[in-house]
Amino acid sequence: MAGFPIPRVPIITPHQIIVIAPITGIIMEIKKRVGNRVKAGDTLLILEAMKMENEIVTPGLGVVKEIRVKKGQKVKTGAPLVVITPLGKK
Amino acid sequence: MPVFKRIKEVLKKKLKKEVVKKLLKVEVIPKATIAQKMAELKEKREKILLGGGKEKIETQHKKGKLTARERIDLLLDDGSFEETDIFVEHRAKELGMDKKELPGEGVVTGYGHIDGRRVCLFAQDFTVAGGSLGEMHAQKICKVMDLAMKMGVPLIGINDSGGARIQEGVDSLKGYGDIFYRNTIASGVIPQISVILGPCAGGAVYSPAITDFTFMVKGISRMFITGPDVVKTVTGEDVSQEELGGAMAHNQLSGVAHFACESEEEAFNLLKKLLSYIPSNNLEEPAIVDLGDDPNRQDETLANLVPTIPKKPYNVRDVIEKVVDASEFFEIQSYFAPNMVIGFGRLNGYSVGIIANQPKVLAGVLDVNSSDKAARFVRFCDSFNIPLVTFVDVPGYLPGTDQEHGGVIRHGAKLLYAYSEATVPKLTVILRKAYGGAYIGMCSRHLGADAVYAWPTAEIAVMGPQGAAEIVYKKEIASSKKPQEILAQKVAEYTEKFANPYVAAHRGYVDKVIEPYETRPQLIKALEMFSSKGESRPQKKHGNIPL
Repeated sequence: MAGFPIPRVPIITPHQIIVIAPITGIIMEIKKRVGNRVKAGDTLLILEAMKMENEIVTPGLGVVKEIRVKKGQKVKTGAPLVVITPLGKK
Repeated sequence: MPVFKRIKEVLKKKLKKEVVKKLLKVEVIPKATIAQKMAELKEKREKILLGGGKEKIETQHKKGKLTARERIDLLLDDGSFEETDIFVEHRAKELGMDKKELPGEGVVTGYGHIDGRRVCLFAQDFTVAGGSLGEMHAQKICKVMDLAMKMGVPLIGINDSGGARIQEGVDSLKGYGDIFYRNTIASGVIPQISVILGPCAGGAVYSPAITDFTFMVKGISRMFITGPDVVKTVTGEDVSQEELGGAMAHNQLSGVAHFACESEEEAFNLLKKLLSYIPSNNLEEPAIVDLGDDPNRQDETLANLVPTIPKKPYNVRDVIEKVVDASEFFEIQSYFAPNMVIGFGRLNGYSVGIIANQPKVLAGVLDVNSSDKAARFVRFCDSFNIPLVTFVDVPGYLPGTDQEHGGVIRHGAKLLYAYSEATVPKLTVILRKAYGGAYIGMCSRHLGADAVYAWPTAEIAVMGPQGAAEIVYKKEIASSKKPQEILAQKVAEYTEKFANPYVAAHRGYVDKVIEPYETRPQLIKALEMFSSKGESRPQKKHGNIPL
């Protein structure tokens, strides 16, 4: 049984940003690759849930360090999707 | 005087002249003494105006915080501040308090103007005993709260306090209780706004919690019931003050606060803007502010904003901004439950409360937090005569154990309750999806909407085509040799037949299907029509909203 509340927002520490699945769904498309530079608002991947192609965006400037999911994979709310190494502040 | 004269006569007769002279001698106060008294007043005032003294003020500044008086200066119109209870002192004796002098009792209270409008306010002074709250400190606050209620003006509380003044024991708790009680009685009568500009811990948090809107500033505001030290002792968790109860924690995660600001100045500016949309009390209407936008303005670009493919997300804020006066939308609680957007805007100068599903986040679902957020906002608007405009694009309630066990039934019910209960004009625009229970919940005709408009892209149905086809044609699909084909065919049939605004319009649940560019003039017309709306409810003490 899931606890409550499950985190829905990215986990941000000085060393890494972990982008998590805000909702249970299926990974439709991965738009960035490891090593890509991303800025706040950039779409990392598309997560289909509740019959919507939800754009999962990065909360801050950084470099994609790790992508923990594959296309077509089912993910649960709170599951880590992408790890980003932050660059500078915000 | 005649009485005195008579006494004089009698005395004259009975007493010797010298004695009379002595008795009737009027003492002339030497001029020097008056000057002394003035100097004494000046000295007392200056001491109090300095609060905890220069050193403490410096420390406050070093923390990046302003003093209570600097804050009041920033917030109020120049020279409008009228201070109350400047000379109030504590009367505690225990634990060395008899020797302690606390200038101003650690809180500055009074009233003044914001953009020419009267407000009552208090600002806790951290430089005096850490802004700790004792009996008289609370009494000062209660006095301005009572004034605000009597005059029917907004109350603003600037919180910067270490908490209860331990030396004053139960008297300090009484003080908190008196404040909470007044916050509650004033709720729905005058707008109450809390600005957290420092610590606000323990029981103290419950005053802001009861008030209507709470502002926090990143880096300096903290709110928690128990601080990191106690958390560490009890649960073993290592957490910083900012993580536990900082501006973002409460704006993003708990929903306790409504605004996360970069600086105190920004918080005050936002507060002033917020006040411009709301009336001073529940018997007044909000001010009409002409922003010079044509009420008949038709925005053709609205048509392309909402993708016809229901799977594609978009930003509902873009829709709101194209409809309201001068694209000015004042969003509230933008970080919390962002799948629901709430805030104020104007339509032909009239203030309106806007509630909208946000398809860009979590598909715009209704869940525990978004229902909670919208319901409280609806109730605020209803309390203060602000009409409601609801934009609907909602796929339904969010499934899952965390939602069910988190009480999505109880929380979701709040939204239905709040909308049904509201008697202000209620206007609804269905942009795209409006399915099932969520359709009902988003201010449908059935909850008392006065006007419901739908865009041609609207899909008003009991559920989405896919789900409906799977259930209705379950047997047919299962027994078929080509289940996928049958399903696709049935989905297409369902979409054609039900995924549109016309079924609801045929029954009068939707008043009108409008082209997107007609939205603004249509809403303004409706708002004018319903401006004299009167709706009464059965007499009762109060309802029992599922809390």
